[in-house]
Amino acid sequence: MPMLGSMLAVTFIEVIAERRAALLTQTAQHLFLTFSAVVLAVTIGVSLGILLTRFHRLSMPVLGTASVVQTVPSLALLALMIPLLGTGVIPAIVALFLYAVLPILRNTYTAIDEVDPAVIEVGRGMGMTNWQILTTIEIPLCIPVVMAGVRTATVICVGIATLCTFIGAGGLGDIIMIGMESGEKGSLLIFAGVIPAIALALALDGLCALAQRLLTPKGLKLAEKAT
Amino acid sequence: MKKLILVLIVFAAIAGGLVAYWFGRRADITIGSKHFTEQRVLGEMIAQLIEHHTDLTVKRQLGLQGTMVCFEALKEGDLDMYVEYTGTGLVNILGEGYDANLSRAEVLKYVRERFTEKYKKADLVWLDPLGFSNSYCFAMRDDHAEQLGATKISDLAAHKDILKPGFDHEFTIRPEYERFPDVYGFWFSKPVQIFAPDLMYGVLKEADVDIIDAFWTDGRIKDYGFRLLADDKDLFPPYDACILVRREVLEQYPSLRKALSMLSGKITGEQMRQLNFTVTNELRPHADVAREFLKSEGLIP
Repeated sequence: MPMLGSMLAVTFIEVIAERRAALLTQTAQHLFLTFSAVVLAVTIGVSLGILLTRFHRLSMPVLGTASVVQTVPSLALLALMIPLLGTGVIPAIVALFLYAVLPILRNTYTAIDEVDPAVIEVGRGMGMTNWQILTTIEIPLCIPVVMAGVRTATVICVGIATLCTFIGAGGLGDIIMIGMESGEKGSLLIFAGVIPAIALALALDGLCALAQRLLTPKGLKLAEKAT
Repeated sequence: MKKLILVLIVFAAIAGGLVAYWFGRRADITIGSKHFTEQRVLGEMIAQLIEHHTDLTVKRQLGLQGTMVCFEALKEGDLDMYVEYTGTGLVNILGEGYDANLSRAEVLKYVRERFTEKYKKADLVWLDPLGFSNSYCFAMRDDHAEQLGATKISDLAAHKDILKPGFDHEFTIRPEYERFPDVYGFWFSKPVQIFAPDLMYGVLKEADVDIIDAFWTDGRIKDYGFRLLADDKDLFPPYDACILVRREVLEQYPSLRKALSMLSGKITGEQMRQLNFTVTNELRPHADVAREFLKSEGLIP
């Protein structure tokens, strides 16, 4: 049995060595797909979330629509992209964006909505304009919650990006699917694709955690420590 | 201010990536394939033939999700060609029933005519067949089939109450599936389990099911030691593999047709299964397997 294990390990290394150029490209594509979709989702999700706190009546339909999109199976959503946007990277990014935007949008809306009115009142008492209240009180206070949404969105995207191979967008799904198609020994290829995907998810999550720490205002951190 | 610059850098990086992608994808010809071994190998063969015998640049979009995604992309012009099977063209794409008495050549002729009528705008051409037909068939564990004395589908009628059937989703929505009881005069008593096609082989091996639908040229049949049961009542139409291509590109690049026709009639069913087996059993990259075949046939230097 240990003999078999070491033979498998040797084959695994050979398989990876033979395909290292392809694996590197696929990892880069995977990163690019995820990163573009999340950045797009942060831009639109945060701005839309803030807008919704100013127009409460719109919040139900907008959040509802985003939730409905989230429930569409990813494979079906990707297939729906083909008649609209064709194959390749662009429809893949759009589909990933649709999945990434809900957690960010909802967290932004909820966080800003739940900022203690007393704090805002204090700001107003000091003569702050609406814009100043938003940028110096509301946004800094809701960063931890928004970032939690961004982290959820990132991990979702790394996972769903493995399906983008089905519409010709590349990524680690390529090698995972080839593994699935290859019968008994194919599991080696599946691992060769899944391991970098997991590493990518952990690395991006770590990056988000770092960003969260840098962006969170000192006051909030102190308050956390005190409790 | 620093934060703003950071944000701008991030956006510039993404925009740069998209622009690079946009230019990267500007190839003369885009070749697609569905997501199974044979399709990827054939896609590679076509790509390499074009690269060797013309000056055109080729982009590969291999492993797309299923027939309808490939066909839709071809119709919309996102793909210029992919390998399709006459039976799939007839049953899945045209959605028509068929006459079991038609020969392989007659099915091809019929599909060509109907495609010209129905998809006038996309103007698609079925080139001459590559040589093999990759039909649906049934597969069982060899020792189990031996024990039941089954070599053809009719032999299963006597065992219909004990066999556990497992099929893939695409198979269960095909007209052949519906016609099975009429043609063969029996159906399985145990409920049908539905699997992803790639998982069925492992499930059959582990004896969770006893009979699955399979592709005639699938290399994994050899891999797992399964037995194929002959379709003795001609339930399944012929599935001749042909390059399905947009006429537009054939006319735009006159050198293309010659390069593509080099493959017609060149691949037998046995050869195709061996190529598939090499990929799945030895885990060789599709491109290498395709190149070696083209070289051995003297199609590329």
